[in-house]
Amino acid sequence: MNPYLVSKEVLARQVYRYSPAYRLAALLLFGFLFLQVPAVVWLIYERQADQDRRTRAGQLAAEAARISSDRKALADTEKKLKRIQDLAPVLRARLPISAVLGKIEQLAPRDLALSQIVIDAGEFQPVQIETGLFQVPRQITIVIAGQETAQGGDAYRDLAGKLLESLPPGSKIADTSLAEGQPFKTFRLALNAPTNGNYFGLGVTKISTQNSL
Amino acid sequence: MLDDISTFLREMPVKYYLAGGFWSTKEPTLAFFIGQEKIEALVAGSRGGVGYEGSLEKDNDAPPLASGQRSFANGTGSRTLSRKLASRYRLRRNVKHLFVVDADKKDRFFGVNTLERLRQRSVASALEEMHENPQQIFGSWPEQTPFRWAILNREITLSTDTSPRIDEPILIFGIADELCASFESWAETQGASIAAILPLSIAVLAWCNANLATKDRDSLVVVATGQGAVSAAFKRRSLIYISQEESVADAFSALEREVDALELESPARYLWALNNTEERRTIPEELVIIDEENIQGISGESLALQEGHGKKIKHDRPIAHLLNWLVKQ
Repeated sequence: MNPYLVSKEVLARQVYRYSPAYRLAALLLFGFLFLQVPAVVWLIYERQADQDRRTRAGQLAAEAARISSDRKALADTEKKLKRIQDLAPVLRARLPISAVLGKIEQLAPRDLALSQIVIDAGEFQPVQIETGLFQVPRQITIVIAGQETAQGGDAYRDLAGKLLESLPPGSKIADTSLAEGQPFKTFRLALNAPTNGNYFGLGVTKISTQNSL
Repeated sequence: MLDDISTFLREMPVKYYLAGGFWSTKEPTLAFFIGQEKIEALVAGSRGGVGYEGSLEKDNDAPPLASGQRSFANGTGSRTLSRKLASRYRLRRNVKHLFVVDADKKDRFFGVNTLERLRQRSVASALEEMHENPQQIFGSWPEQTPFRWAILNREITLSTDTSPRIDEPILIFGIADELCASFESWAETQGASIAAILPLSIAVLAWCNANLATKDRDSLVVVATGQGAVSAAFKRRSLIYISQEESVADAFSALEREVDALELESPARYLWALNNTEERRTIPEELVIIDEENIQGISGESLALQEGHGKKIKHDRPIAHLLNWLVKQ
């Protein structure tokens, strides 16, 4: 039916509905807009993520400022702690003398008489720390001298072997000597042990974790 | 070019496109009969009428009445009337409207004339002249109200463009611009397009010429509406006379006076009445009244249409058949 008595304006608008050209143009436009949806979603997501990042950065900056402020109050403690940490090489290169003596007492056979035990540090290494220059030993020398009966076997050798097993890995027997005599033979043992080894073999036990002061 | 593109982007019917307008322009038709106090509608799919609404004037979102006033209440709910009707009868959301208006006498005009007598060479120039200067065309044109005009060929064919010879009778009809604009404005609120706005009498005469035996025998047709009667004479299917009268009796009297002048040979007489007329005693005895009793024989079918409550009911009132015929044109 012809559009009788319908105004030209209305007919012009109706062309947009029925004309294939306008419908195709609208379809292309809608298709184009639809293809933009992923980009728009991505942009919105990125904007949101950027906003979150900025918020998080702001929070972290505030937290850093707070920590920095708190740290100023701890500066003196930190300084003291640093000194203690600097002493670590000095403290680490030590020998538990009581443990060594206790072990020797424990291992020495009855037919041995110990006349002398010398424990000495050697191979010093200079370590610079805030308070000055320290000479830190890298090696400990243990010298044991005594007598055994002339009829006795190699008891001093047994002592040397067992003591070597108890000392840290890397320890070695430096010298053994025996002077014949009547009724006692005089022996002398020298062992070298590193200062930075563990002395658990001497019966020393770990009392706490490393960083716990 | 840029203006065209920007106008298109501004005016493009987005909802229409998104509701399927990209793929198909086949739309259901809502054919409204607009009376002075009554509004009825036939809801039609691609194969014709599927539903009928007998009293839409009570709806909050009803179209304007033929008097130009809103019917019952002003304002829309969440859904428009067109959307409700399309949904009720399970049709597509995109619809077009056809308005058949029983306009007040002062808001309508009918006349049979020729381009020669109008001193015009073509239908287009005649329409333009009627729009610009109706006094020039009709001699005296009392109305100051702007009218919209249309011209039909003498067979009153609604679906073809009119290109008559300058000496052939043509049917000129018009309705007040303000009344037409009120329907356009309402249709825009509904998101619907408009198929046409037709005066009831012209639509009835077109239906009569297509369905009655006007080809075999000269015919006198009187269309009785709420706004008086319109008398028309067909000579071998061609409309040669039309006149507006106060009543059916006046219309037939006028036709009887004109029979000889129009050189009609023992014409058949028909009466199409919007409502049951009480004037049967004053009208010719050999008259064929087009009513519920004989319309099935005339149009060849009985209309069974669903109503709002969901049941199918026979709708053999002439107005229902008229609307059903119009949506198929």
